[in-house]
Amino acid sequence: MVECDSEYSGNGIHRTMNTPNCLAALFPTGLSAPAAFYLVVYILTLVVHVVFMNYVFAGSVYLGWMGLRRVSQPSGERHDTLPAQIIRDWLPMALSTAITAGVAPLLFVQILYQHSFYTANLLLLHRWMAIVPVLIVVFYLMYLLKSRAIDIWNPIWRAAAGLLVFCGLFFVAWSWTENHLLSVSPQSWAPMYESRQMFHITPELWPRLMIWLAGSFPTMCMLVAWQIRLAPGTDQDGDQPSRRLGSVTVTLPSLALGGLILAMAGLVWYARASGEPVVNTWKEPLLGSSGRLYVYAAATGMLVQVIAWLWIAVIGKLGALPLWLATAGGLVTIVGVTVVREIVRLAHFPDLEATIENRIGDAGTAQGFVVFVISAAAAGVAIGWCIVQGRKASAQRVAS
Amino acid sequence: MTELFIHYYYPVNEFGPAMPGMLIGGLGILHVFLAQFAIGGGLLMCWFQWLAMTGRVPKAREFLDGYFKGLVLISFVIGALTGVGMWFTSVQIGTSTIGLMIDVFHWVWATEWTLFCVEIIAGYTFYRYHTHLSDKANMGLLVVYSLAAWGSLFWINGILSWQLTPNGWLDSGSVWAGFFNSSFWPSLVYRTAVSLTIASLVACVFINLMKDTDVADRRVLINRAAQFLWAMVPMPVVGLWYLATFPPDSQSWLQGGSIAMTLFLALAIGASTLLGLYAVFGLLIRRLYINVSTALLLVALAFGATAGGEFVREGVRKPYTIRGTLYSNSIREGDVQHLREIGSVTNDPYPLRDASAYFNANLALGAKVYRFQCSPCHTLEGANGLSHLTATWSADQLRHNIAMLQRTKAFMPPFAGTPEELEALVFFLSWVNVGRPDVWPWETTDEDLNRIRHWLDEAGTGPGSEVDVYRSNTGG
Ligand code: HEC
Ligand code: HEM
Repeated sequence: MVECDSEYSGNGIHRTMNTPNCLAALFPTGLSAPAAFYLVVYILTLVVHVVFMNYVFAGSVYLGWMGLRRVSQPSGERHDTLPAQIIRDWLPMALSTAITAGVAPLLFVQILYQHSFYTANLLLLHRWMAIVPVLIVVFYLMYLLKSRAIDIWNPIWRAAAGLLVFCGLFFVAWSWTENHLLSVSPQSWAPMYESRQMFHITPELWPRLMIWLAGSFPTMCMLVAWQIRLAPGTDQDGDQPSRRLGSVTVTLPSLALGGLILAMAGLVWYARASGEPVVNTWKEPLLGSSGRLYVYAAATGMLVQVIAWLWIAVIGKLGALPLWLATAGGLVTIVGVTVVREIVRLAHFPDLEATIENRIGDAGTAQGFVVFVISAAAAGVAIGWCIVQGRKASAQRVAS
Repeated sequence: MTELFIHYYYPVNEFGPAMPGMLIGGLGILHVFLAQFAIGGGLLMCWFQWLAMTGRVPKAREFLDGYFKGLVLISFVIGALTGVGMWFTSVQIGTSTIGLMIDVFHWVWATEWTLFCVEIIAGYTFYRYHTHLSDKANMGLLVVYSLAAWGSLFWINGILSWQLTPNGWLDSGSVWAGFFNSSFWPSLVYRTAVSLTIASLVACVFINLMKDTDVADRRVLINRAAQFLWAMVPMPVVGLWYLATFPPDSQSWLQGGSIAMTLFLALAIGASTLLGLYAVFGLLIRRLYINVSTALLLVALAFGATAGGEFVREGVRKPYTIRGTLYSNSIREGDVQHLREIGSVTNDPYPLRDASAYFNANLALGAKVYRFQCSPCHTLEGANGLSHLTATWSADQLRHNIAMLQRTKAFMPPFAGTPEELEALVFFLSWVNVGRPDVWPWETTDEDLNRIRHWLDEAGTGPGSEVDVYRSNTGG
């Protein structure tokens, strides 16, 4: 554990670093500030990105699937399930949020792993240049899926639009994962450059993607369940008198549990693909005193989620208690997995502290941090106020 | 030092006949234009909301509806994504630059990011719910949105203006001295005025596209929207103030020192002047009505002016990307001497992609030196192609002019390698100039190397034009 005190009370700059240093203690990797501090901020912001990314990704799979199932439906009609209606409605906004939430970890990953991150970016040039156009297309397709215009389309085209959204998002997720794997594989850099290869496909790639993508389902289901429960007009037990709630308490738990099981299978596959020598190198950092907590947390979180979703399926209601359980379990899982992911990566960077110290020094850490904190607090208030306005308005909308 | 040099090298992607700068240039212009539309658009909507609330312009509400939808569909999508795209492209073509900017300003960027979050949430809340919210709540949302949008301009402006005039930061290493640099305020005022202008012109397009309005309605709306064009009136003065904060050598590029930059500046000034004259005399004084094609033409002029301005902004920093610190080819000013001793590509771990094209090691060395030091700004036979520029030069001329690179053209950095590397580069360029024969004799005498060494020493390791005025000491 990092101490929060005297060591850093020398000169003025160090004194301002006490706050970061205390925060760094939250994340026991044995690193000292500033490296540990940036890691904490990186992980916290990445968790937010993951939550929204999960909604967008799993949501697009669900919508794509529904689109396929409805190919036989005549055009001009829209028989959506309740989750499909909600997801379709919120997908563009969720994508905006996922992207915006991605900017913050993008910033901090450049501080932590600048050289390796950039190198992977450069080697995957085509991918990074394609991502922006792909996301623009995905965005407009999402608006299209939402619009009434598409209802009169041939159902095959409608389904194709939904599938394209999924493919675009899959491409983006794949690129991030491949970039990650390439960034921790310096021995591949020169050969890849020389041979002009555009891909870095290793046995770990697919299972790693599977963990992320399957793992996105429980988060999406949890968020959609809240959206249903909190929608104006829903009574306290989460019943939606006017709509087809019955199927929701089957659909959402099935998707969530299916996702959890596949994610766990992905973990096993990932370990096997990595090979025993590599897995052995994880053992010490992950099962040692620092990492153990997070491994257990992730495992417990998953178990809690399983219980919560079974509970919901059994009672046939989106009850508050099981939903809160699913939420807490989900968050703990995401934080745990994200930290574990980082601990595994850190093993590749034994000189991380020195590198960051060298590049940033103390000054960079302290200066501007206070402004950021104030701005973040103000932003929190502003966002909170906006959400309250939105809630009021949707209540109004239902009433009228 | 060792630590530094491990992290010095990145894989260099070459982009065929195009220069990498063009890539970011194009994307950058689009992004800046859309971002400025989003900023000015927020303010314009606040005003129209007020016009609607106070009953002054009955059709203002309908206008707001359409305009905001446009803003969301265009700016939230393409604006936000080209912003992310700017990151990706900056990494591609200015890897070390963006890295250093992050190292220095990450909290400023993180602060800007909190404002993005507010923008998105306030914007979508308005978009989804404004028809079910009170006027006051809508006004609140628009004000929050606009403040956040303008605030993001405030923060990014400090970082971008720092690249050209990092004065105080060079002296003290202070982030805030770098942020509030000498071009900060003129640039902020200028960009704010541009944002208001763009928002107003785009509004004229939208007003023309509104359904259920007659010419009289549209005329009223256009006259109101045009009020924002008053922001163009002080632009010449603010522009001059901005230019006055440029370092002297950057000013000289604009005054003909670099003809390309002079032309881009002329484009920006010409387009703005035309636009300004039409705006003030036509739209504001004579209260003319404009139809959709005129409005689109004016938007195109504004885009042209933005494009010219952005090219100038990127260009005038040469030979630096961060003045006094980092040269355009990612070599730090303070490292030039060291690289002249150990060699610029000695530790470069990346092999050549076309190694078999070079018949001996010396030629390959030249190709590597070219890749590392010259390819960020030159191609061989395409844009700014060295083969075109040096086709008629003798070997000695090449040796001399490359050894004194920063004096050959002051917008180039000094050569940062050993005399042997320079000689290999000359060999490589001459070989390209004669059409890349399979074998080609090349002789180097000790005399040649000594002369190169002498010229390198004479040129020194600093930039061609004196920037020391901007650096009371070279701490950096
Ligand atoms: C900061 C960007 C930059 C870098 C890096 C750079 N140059 Fe240039 N160079 C320029 C520009 C801009 C010109 C002007 C082209 C023109 O006048 O049309 C130029 C012109 C030249 C010329 C023609 C000069 C003349 O008088 O006509 C030569 C020769 C040249 N560069 C060689 C090199 C070599 C060799 C390197 C690598 C060691 C290099 N440059 C690196 C930007 C750069
Ligand atoms: C909406 C489409 C997106 C999807 C589906 C997606 C998915 C993912 C996934 C799966 C990962 C984990 C990679 C791994 O560990 O293997 C990830 C990480 C990340 N994403 Fe996203 N992402 C999306 C968009 C974005 C965007 C637009 C940004 C930037 C603004 C972003 C920023 C990041 C960052 C910084 C990381 C961490 C990378 C690292 O630590 O190496 N994401 N994303």
